[in-house]
Formats: sequence, structure tokens, C-alpha cells
Amino acid sequence: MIRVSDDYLDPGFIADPYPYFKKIRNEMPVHWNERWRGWIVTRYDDVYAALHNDRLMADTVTPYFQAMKPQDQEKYALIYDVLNNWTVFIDPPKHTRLRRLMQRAFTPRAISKMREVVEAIVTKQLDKWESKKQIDVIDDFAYPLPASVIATMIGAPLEDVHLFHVWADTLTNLLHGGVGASDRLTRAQTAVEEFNVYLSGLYAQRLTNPRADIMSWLMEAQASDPSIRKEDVIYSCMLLLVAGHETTQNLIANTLVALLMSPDQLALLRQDERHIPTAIEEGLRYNGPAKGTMRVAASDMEIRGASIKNGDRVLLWMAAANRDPEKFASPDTFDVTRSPNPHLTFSHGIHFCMGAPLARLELEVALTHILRRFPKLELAGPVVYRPRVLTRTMEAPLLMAVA
Amino acid sequence: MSPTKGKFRVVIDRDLCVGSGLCVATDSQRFVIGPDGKAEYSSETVDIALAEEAVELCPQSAIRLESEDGT
Repeated sequence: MIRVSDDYLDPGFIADPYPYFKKIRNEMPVHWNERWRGWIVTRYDDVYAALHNDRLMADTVTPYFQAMKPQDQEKYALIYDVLNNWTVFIDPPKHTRLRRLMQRAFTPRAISKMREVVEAIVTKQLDKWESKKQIDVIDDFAYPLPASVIATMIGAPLEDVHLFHVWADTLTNLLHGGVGASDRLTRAQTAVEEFNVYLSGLYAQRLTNPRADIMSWLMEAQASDPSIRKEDVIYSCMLLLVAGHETTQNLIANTLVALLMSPDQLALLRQDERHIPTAIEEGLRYNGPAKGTMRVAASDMEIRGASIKNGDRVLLWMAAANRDPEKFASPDTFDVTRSPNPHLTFSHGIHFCMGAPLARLELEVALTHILRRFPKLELAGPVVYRPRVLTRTMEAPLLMAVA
Repeated sequence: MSPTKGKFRVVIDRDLCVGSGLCVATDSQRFVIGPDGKAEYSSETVDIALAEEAVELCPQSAIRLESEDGT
């Protein structure tokens, strides 16, 4: 068994993980990382098979809460109840029931309504760029956009979006900030309590006055299925906000930066907007919002000769798989016309990203409008990544010149 | 879309399919996940109501319900 103790918060790895991914994909495609205390999987075929393996479980939350002291379990019971009803952290059969509920938020009916919402919000944000020479693409665009879209789609008034930001940031910090910090848990507990009260208010309004929004559609599904509870609807709305928040921000920022760093590809896209759909997929593949996802083995198994034991943690590096030369020709080249492009950034199998159509839509609308309205767009400052193990999140300010 | 007569078939775009299994959860008698992780329609006969629901729930819009005469 190959063991390493490499640090996933090492500044070099945070700045550019791809040379490291290339090295481990070649030299030790499946290995044990002692510092992270789990197995690491890097090749496309192995990551793909693992995402479809029903003995690799997504419930990484229950072991974490079970290890807590009884008084803490009681104190943070609401956080556990919320996370343990989020499709990203549960397994079948419970997963199947909740996933079917949440998928109602992304039916063709829902998506056609989303386009109007996204167009309106993007246009309003970009109007504010017109009077400026330089903008921060994070705080002036990619950060506010997803929360505004989700808040509108859930049916919350736009003046409450600042609350959504606070709740989403607090929960994102809990989920990505690592384990053990009790102040993060305390803040998350407060955020979840407030969010729960807020959404319960929207829920109560819709009991008497259903509207054309996601919460009303989820309630419609609830009415026809006795196994769905009010909490399922409310917690699912929380998941929509948190899951779509920083990931979409990263998708927009990372793709724009990749384009600005590849002038020939940017020129190609400006010349012919019909490349935008393939450019979106290439943004997802080349430097997508997430590097990896975590599973726990529910039985002993072998992956490429490595003996994985029941209960072991397994980290699937999708970002390494996305540059596997066995699957992608010239994998380190950013090519906006690449097709087919079967990247694994949205995961695969039963946990395939539910918000994928919305993420694609937000980037499509953003790219189309930015390219048309700002022909002189260029990077005007350094690109710095936040120290996050699982995501590729750029720090604000990410300065760009617009005029 | 609410077909009432004629013969129908279910078509799955294998390039789009990601094996989310929502179609299987909707109609486990007729949809199955194949060995490559992608969905297949294993039945000769089509349950139109369930097939329509699978079309609507597919996260990749990879499923189509077509009439045998091609419309």
C-alpha cells in the first residue's frame, strides 16, 4: 500500500493542484493519505466507477455527529436533522424519496421560469458595471447572483437576499472549513434556526396562497405524497440555497478567468456565441468549482488493487479525473469547442448535481451578456484561491477592467 | 403532452445519461441501470404516464417519449 502525508491546504496545491494531480494519477492512482486519513482516487475510470458504487456511501455526516459528546449531539440536533435530510449527505432508500421531491424544483416548467429570473438579475448587475472602469467580479457579480436567483425562485422577497447570504456563508464555512471548530458549529446552529423560522413563514403563507415558485411546487408534491413532511420541503429549500451558492460563484469566476488567460479561446467565443454551450462544459472540466467529493465504504472492497476496509473514508478527486489523458485528448488545454466532454464535475450516478441545469443557465446568461457588453474585459489583479480542500474558490477582490 | 392512442417508445440519449436513477425510481419495472452505469428501457410495452414523469424528472433531459411513426 502506498502511503503519503501530503497536505491539501499546502499553498502550492491551493494555487494550482493540477501538476500534483498529474503526478499522483500517474504514480499512485489509488493510495492512502495519512494526513487526510483516507483513500485517494484519481483516474477517470476509477472515479466514475466509485460514483456508481452503491457500497460507497454519501452519508459522511452521521459518523461525525456520532463521535460527538451526548450534550453536543443534543445542542446541535437541528443541524444534524437538516444535514441528514439533504440529498447530498444521504443514501437510498431515503435519498431516493427526497431526491424525487427536490427534482420538482428543476423540471422543464421550473427551468423556463428560471431563465427570466436569471436574465433580469444579470442585466441589473451588469448595468452597475457601466459606470465603472474596474469591477470585482466576485463581489460585484458572481457572489450576489446565485443567492438572488435562488431566493427569487424559492419565492422570497429580493430585499431579504442579504439574509440568504449570511445563512449560506455560515453553512458553507461549516461544511468546507474542516472539522472540530465548535464556534463554526455554534454559528451554523444559529443560522439554521433563523433560516428554519424564516422559511416556515414562507411555507405558512403558501398554505393559503400557493404561488408559481419552488416552495409552492414542493408543497404540491408534498400534498400528493404522505411520506413527505413539512421539514422535508423546508430543509430542501435550505439545500438549494447552500449547494448553489459558492459553487455557482466559482463556476462563473473560474470560467471567466480561464477565458481571459486564453486570449485565442476568448476571441473564438466572441466571434461565435454558438460555442458557449461547449465553453461552459469546458469551464466545468478545466478548472471547475469543486475538486472532489467524499464517500465512506460500507463494506470491504478493492479499487485498482488497494484493499479498502468497511468504514474507510474515500476521497474522489474529480478534478484529477477530468484531466486524465486516457479520457481527454490534450487534457491540460482549455478548448472551448471540446466535444464530447464527459467531465465528472457535477458528479455522476444518483448524486448527479440537481442544480446542473440552473448552474449551466446562470453561466450561459452571464457569459452571453458579459461578452456582448464588455468587449475590453481583462484581468486587472492577481488570482488568489481560498484554502479549501474540496473546492476551487477564488478570493475577492478578483479585479477586472471593463473599460 | 398526453398521448392517448398509437404506439409509443422510450428513447434514452446515452451521451446525456448520467445514471441518476430517477427514471428507475419512477418506474422500476421498466427502467434499469445497465452495467456501464447508464439507464436502459427494458420493456416492450410503455407505461405512458410513468414514462412522462420520468421525462420530466430526468436531470439531464435525456429521455424522450416518441410515437412509433416518428413524431
